[in-house]
Amino acid sequence: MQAQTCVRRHPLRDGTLVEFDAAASFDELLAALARLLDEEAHAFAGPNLIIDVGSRVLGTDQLLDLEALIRRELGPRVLQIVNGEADDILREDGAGDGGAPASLRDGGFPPAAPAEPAAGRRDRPAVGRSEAVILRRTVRSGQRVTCDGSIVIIGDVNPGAEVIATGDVVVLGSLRGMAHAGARGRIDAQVIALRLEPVQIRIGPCIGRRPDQPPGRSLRPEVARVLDGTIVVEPLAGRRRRPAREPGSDRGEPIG
Amino acid sequence: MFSLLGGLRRRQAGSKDVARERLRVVLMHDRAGANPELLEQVRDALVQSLSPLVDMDRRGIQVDLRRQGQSLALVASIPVRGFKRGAGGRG
Amino acid sequence: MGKSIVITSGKGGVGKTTTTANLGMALAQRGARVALVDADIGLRNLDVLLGLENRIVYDLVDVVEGFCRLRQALIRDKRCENLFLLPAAQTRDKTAVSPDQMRALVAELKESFDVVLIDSPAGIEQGFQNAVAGADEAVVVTTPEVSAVRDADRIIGLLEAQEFHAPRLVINRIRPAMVSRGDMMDINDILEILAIDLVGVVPEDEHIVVSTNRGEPAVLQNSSLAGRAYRNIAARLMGEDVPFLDLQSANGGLLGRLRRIFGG
Ligand SMILES: Nc1ncnc2c1ncn2[C@@H]1O[C@H](COP(=O)(O)OP(=O)(O)OP(=O)(O)O)[C@@H](O)[C@H]1O
Ligand SMILES: [Mg+2]
Repeated sequence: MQAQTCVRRHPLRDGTLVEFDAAASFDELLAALARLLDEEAHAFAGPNLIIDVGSRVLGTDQLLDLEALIRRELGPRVLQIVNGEADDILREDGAGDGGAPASLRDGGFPPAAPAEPAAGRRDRPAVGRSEAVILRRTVRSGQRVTCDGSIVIIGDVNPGAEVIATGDVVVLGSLRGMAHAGARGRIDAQVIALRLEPVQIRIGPCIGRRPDQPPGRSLRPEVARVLDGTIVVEPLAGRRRRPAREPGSDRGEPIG
Repeated sequence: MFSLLGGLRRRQAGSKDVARERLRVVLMHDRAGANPELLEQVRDALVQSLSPLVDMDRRGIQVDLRRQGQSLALVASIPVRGFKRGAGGRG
Repeated sequence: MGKSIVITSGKGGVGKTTTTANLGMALAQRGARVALVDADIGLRNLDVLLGLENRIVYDLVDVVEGFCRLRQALIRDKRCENLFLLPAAQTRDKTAVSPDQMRALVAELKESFDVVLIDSPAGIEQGFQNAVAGADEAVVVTTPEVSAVRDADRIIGLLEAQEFHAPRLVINRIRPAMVSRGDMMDINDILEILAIDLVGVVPEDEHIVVSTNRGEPAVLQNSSLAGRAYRNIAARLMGEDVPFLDLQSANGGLLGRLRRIFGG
């Protein structure tokens, strides 16, 4: 009985919000969520699934377990993990009839404020209260993944997909869509990808776009960061020696 | 003579004539479906032209268009109570 | 005060977006101030055909929701300075916008543009209703196939019901060789059935594929027959009387038949 109350489901306009009880252990929560998904799978319509984990910090293994459970029970969902924002999300979702909640539209983050990069820097200590969120899947066109903190995507980010994080964005695969790191204004955030071929990169308030004549494909991991107000892309420092044979044909297939 | 020519031409013409014919039938059906008034009118015309000959249950009349392969059929179901006296003699 | 034209079709994949991009470019090259509106929310493509996908910051839904101003969301074309694109949102769906909001948006665009072209999504559902909401005129795109013509007929019926008094037709992907072989419906067959005015015929053209790859509409290439066809359509939309391309020099009958139809 208690297990049933430790996860709460709220319908959203285009998805579902699940709230985790602060007192329960992660194993209890996972079991309760599994039961809920089993019994009420039909109630989880819509592409988005937001899980509010409260103030708890999920470890990598826990995140992967959670993600695997959801993928097994529901199939692909745009999974978003937030810290204690359930009330805001529900309020925005219910307010007006203008569409999905702002939290889904722009990750719930205020628009980047070009005037105040300094304020963004002050955010720094707040970020990192969670370990990086890890997502193991391909983010496809039309999907938007948002994350408070840094995000690691094991897989590709396709054109038309968006990854938005208040911290860094790391793509262990090809980044061909849009990535926004430092979405609350942190100008020292970074975007790192094994293949960095994005349509657009945003870091804090800066926007960089792919040149109209795309240069040759880079075969080494690269990092995008802001230098003197513009986004520059360079090889990831501390370059590992790559194997002699380039995996030319494995154009950024999901790793792992 | 004419039928021979027609047959020859059809063989030469290729698939576009088939396409055109199918389209014509499909569209007649679609347009009638999108326009229930049309079938109402057909129904009324049937009632009018048949009523001197047949005693029918007007509420039970059903008129429908059905696709039959390459052509369209007007299918009417008319509950008949009886034929009017002397009707056969006139025709 | 400009005019707004919706490019629509019913059936998917017949060339609405290709037509919108090329007509937009052709009209702009003639000097008109042109705004292209991608109303295919959730499946945006017009940005890619124009090679502008890397410039998108805000989109139509952001404008409608008051998240940014219209002017901020409009992207100026990189080749033609009087061509602008209002991109669709990619991470949302059709329900994010209502017909009333589209009407207001297009009305605002008409204040500063000569022509507003609206690229409609396929289908007859809300996306279509949104796309036609703000339009003064309609161009229906079809291909010479039974399914496409049938859907065009349905769309024309819906447009007429919404008081678009004279939607005009673009027949796309005509293959003259197949037409003369009798294996493709010709213009005459299609016009006979749909009974609306023809505004242009665009041939099947490999340049279209190449230009989509490059993000450069085919009207920018002089060698493209489809590009020429689109330039002619643009001229006709601006009220010019341009003869139809002779796509079928082997079959002199085509032009003759067209002339008969249009009294030209
Ligand atoms: N005249 C043409 N010659 C060759 N290919 C063409 C031609 N017109 C369109 N195509 C191709 O057809 C495909 C569909 O075109 P397009 O995207 O413009 O259609 P659409 O009607 O906008 O599709 P949707 O309904 O999905 O929005 C594209 O791959 C395009 O390159
Ligand atoms: Mg399209």
